[in-house]
Amino acid sequence: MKGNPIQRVIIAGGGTAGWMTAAALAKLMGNAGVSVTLIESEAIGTVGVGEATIPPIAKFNAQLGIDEHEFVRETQATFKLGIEFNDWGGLGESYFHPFGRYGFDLEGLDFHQYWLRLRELGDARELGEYSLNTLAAYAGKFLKPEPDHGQVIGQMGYAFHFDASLYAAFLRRFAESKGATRIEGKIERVERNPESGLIAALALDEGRRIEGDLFIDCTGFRGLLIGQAMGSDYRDWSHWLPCNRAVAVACGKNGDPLPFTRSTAREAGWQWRIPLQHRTGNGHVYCDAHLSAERAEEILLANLDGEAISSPNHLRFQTGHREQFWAGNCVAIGLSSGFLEPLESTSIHLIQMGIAKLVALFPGSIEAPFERAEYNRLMTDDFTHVRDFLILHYKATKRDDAPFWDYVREMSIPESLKQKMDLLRSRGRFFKYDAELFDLTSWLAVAEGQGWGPEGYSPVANGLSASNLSQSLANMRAVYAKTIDAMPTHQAYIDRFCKAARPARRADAA
Amino acid sequence: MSSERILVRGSALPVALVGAILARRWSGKGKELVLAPEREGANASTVIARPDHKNVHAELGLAIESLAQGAEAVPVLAVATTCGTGQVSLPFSPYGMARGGTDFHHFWRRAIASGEQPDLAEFSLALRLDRAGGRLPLSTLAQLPLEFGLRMDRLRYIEVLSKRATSLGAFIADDAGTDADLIVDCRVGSNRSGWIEDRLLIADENDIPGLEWQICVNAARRFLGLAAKLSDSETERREYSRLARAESARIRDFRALLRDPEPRETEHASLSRKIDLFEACGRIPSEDFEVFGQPEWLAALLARGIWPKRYDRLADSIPDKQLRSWLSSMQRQIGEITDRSLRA
Repeated sequence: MKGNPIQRVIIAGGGTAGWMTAAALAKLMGNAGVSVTLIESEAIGTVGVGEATIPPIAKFNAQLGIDEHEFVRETQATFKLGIEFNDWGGLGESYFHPFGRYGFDLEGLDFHQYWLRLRELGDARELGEYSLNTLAAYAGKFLKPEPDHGQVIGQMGYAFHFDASLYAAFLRRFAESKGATRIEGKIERVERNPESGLIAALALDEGRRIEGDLFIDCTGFRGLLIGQAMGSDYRDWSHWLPCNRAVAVACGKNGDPLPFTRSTAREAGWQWRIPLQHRTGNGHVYCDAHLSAERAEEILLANLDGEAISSPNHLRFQTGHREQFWAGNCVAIGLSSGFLEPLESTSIHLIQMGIAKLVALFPGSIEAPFERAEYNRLMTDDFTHVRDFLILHYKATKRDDAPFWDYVREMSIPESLKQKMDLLRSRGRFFKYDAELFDLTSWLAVAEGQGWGPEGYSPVANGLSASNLSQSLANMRAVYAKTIDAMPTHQAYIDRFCKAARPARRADAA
Repeated sequence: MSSERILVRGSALPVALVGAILARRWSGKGKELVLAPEREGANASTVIARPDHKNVHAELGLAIESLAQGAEAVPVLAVATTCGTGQVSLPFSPYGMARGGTDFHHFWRRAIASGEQPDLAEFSLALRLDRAGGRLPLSTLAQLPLEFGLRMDRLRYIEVLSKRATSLGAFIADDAGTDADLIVDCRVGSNRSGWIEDRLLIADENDIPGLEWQICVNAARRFLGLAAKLSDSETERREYSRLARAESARIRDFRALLRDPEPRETEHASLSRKIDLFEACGRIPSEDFEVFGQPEWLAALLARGIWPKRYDRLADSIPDKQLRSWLSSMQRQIGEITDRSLRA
């Protein structure tokens, strides 16, 4: 390898982002002569970003060779089949965003086009009746799909709810076993080379100095390296996603954990509920222009399933991302790179995407302008695609009971989203960009669930006679019902394969 | 008009191909599909269907065996075309074997960095078989990890597709006039495509083997994915045209890479990005709605003398000795498979 190869990667900050990065780099780059050092201070708390995840997390764990059941046990995790949204389309309305697809395509045409046609013929059944994930979630059932389970169970997509602090601790043990080194210390100063402007070292307390070739900023919202030292500006999206504060609290369990996240719209934001094996995580995301912190906390505490077991933790954030995720020899991963509210549980996924792209574009030498440009382009695309999907939830509402909802319902939206919404609205059409995270199922679930669903259907769906169509869909429902009957309950699955053996060592709020 | 009428007109092959694909879906009460093909030149020779042919023909109910008989179809593992430095063979399948998620060419590049001079084509089963010139039986091909296209007799393929289209409900008319809700103009060889009012234009240069076939397939699918009430389709028309423009841009980039005197000086950011990133680290970034596969881009980049300055660090994850042994074993196996396949 020519030039000055990267040999020392320094990760500033622990927490979920830091330890996910350390684990991946130690595992994947360790044999390629790259050393990984993580600096964190026990004196600085972590946000414990996102306890709820989306299905690609399983791929990350699999790439690292992590045993899934062990991971579930160690992080007090539960399985997640989707998200229930309450009061989003209108007060009193509810829908489910499933991780698995709807129905089976017929004659090469998307299932939902047939469902739309049947609806026009007078059948009032909802889309969710053709979703294994939705049916299993509301029946409290779960079964991990295996390759020999056949194509019905094979439709099931799943993710996890877990304790982010325990996940970080779990990954720390993993990373250290793969050769990563942890340094306890507080970063006091970032030293830059006066000529190149690149980061040369991190100065720690007690006069210590840690040199490196590539620096990963996992310092959270502070962006100590990427923002303060490298001067990467922040692209603000708060005009589209105006929520800017959150308050989180953990509460005791109330019965067996349900295999889904719940998101309930409130007067100026929304509340999450995330069931874990040992407790339930709760939070209220809101816009401080429309709601005071005191009132937000009051609403949250009044809507818990059990008794609060931690003090409410208040957070501020600004929706958007760094203009440059990778600047000089510094790459921002996690909250330091940007923030999108956890409405669709994408925080950990965006960390995962940052890591995957860093590994794919891992620089050969300290100066890597083309790799850096590509990384920045791809991460900007990722954030933009997720942003559009989140805005859909706000824009496609009928709520007019509070100024916050009036604002989001009437606000102008990005052209990229407008085109998607128009296509969905007209006849349920959707074209996914290659790098786009959320697919037709997700867009359809939210659009239909919030009353922005298709007004017509593809004429291609007329290819089946009404009686054939009706029979095909009845058969599908029967197959799903039979499959659900045969599945164990979510709790029974956990008890059998991955029940946490001991109480959590830390029970941080979300 | 009481029913919605689509008229597909233009060159014979595009009309037959687009017509057959539309007929499969655009049929039934209230729908009329009329095909008005121009006469194909008497000396029309062959047509290449890219690897997507498996899906397209399966959907049309055309088995490969029947195409072998009806249209003299033979498998094609790579296509040859001209580029700024002469001829280049574009394989449909990846070179070598990826390892631990890292593309093979990074390991090959590492071997070069270590002073060895292996020819990348030696690690492509597709190119070795293609160069050997033998005709592989379909039964043999099915057992190999290879993507393949089909080379067919143009006139006979048109005949097969036309028959299929009419059996699915389309009408063929010599003089269909212009009375239609939508006119699909197939002018591959010109350079304007999109859906404008009641005209759907399917067009591009037909200068890379297989391109004509793929453009028609993509256009027909795109239309079917959006087809609605033809008189009220403004949103769908906009989306169709946007997707068609993206596809044209991908083709334009590939053509510029092959044929521009100085592809590095391109004004198109997406091609610049591909060249710069490949040269910097051997990665070929993918854009939305790519038409050509990574092996084809890799072959074209190398043919234009654009080489990666370095390889992916993950290729360092195996020791030198193991790398050498792996490469020579792969080369040997590819040679053996080639010999065996040609004897079969």
